[in-house]
Amino acid sequence: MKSVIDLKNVGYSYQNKEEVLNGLSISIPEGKKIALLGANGAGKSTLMLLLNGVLKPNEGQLFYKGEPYNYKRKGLRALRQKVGVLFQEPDSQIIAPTVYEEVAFGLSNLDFDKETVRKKTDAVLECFYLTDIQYKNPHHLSVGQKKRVCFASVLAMAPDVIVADEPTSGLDHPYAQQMFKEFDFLNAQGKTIIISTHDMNHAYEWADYVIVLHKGKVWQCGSADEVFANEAALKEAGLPQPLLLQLAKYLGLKEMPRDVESFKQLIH
Amino acid sequence: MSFRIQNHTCIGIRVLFIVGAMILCYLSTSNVYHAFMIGLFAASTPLLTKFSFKIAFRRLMMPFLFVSIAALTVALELSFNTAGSPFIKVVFSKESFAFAIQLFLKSMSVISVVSLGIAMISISEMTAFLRFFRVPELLIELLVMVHHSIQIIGHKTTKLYTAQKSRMAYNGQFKNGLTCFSLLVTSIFSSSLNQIQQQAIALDARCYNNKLVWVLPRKNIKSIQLVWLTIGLSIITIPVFFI
Repeated sequence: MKSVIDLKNVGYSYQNKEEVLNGLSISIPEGKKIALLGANGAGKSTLMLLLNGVLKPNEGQLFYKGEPYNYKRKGLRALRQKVGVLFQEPDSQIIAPTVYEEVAFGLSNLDFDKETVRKKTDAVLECFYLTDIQYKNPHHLSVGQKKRVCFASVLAMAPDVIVADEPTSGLDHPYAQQMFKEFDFLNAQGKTIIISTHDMNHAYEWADYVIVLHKGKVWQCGSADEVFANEAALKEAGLPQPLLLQLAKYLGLKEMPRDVESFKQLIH
Repeated sequence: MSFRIQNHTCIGIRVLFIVGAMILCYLSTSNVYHAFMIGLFAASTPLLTKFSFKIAFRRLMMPFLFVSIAALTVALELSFNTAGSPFIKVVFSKESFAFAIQLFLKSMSVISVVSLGIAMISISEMTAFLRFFRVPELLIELLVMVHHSIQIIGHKTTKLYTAQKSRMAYNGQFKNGLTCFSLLVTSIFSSSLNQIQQQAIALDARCYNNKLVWVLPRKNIKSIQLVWLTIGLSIITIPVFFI
């Protein structure tokens, strides 16, 4: 499996000396839908910031397609164009006074001329159905709309890897579903999607590859079937098994269903 | 019929309209003209911007309070009587009253114009306009950051105040109110600082290069908008010669 980002013995601690990540080594497969799981304080958000180069590891190294991360200004710009981050709290991402300018913000920081930025922004706004609200103040939108605006702003930069920190937190079911549809659409275009989530059920249904973090280390990683089958390891990391797996086990099913439809077929 | 114009031209027209109106308010000595401008601009705010009448009214309340106090200070004169009693006399002369009224109306008319200006021109438009006039980048950046920090603090204050109220804070007792208020101030400071740090991280993640560059959408100006602009200019200019 070809990897897009490799982490080798990465350690990170914040200013209070508390070690968040400790000797973390992992390869992130290219073009996959990846779920990053872990209890609170496991180091998920820190890892995501390391992937985008916002944080620099205290120990170890990160590699993008085999090339070590370059933390100089030019190198970081190039990296951040390739690895986009969607933050959990949309309010901490929004900076511009209108939706249009917010979406155009990332693009205007790159070396595009204004007309190209406008063209790309218009295309992304249309793609995300944000044209109607393009002149609105993003702070006055609903949480769902704010998240869409932030997502559009990250995608406008056309990154190859999209890192999303709990993208569906605070979203109602239809908005969450829509968000995952968009992730699927992007993944079908060859982009690598990494999401951190606490929703084990959705992670099981959606992800191709799962990484479980526990106490700043990779506790488990592999295909969703492999990782979620190991109930004991999940329990130790403070995570429950997905509901479908628990039900399938209880009913003594031989095959493990990945979604509700396949579960229904298996029990009939 | 519509035609495309540069963004800074569009912003420039608005800024010139507002600055022009401010100069007229400042130069005019007629109380009627000032009252007319207060009414006109206060009423225009909800019509030209997305603010409701209630919010537009609220925006003027704070300056109204300060200007009222200032005008009252001018209107009232204190005279000290060292020989007999009463020792201090509050005098309310006709001249000082007239001057206070003029000061009040003039200040409020300028404030209503500025209030509409602030509501009509966004921070990014202001930035584009300042850049056009080659204002140093550091000042522009400072302006944007201060504006954004105020927004964050305002937002946090509302949230924290609601959270306090929902837990029986400010129950009418002075001591409780004071404690709650001091806690609110401390929390606002720490949480706003935290959010500003988060914002800095989010800016970095989107290739922020120590220069806030905004790309504004292209504006189309319709002929009718130019007609409205001319009407607006006439409304504020013509009365100067008659009132």
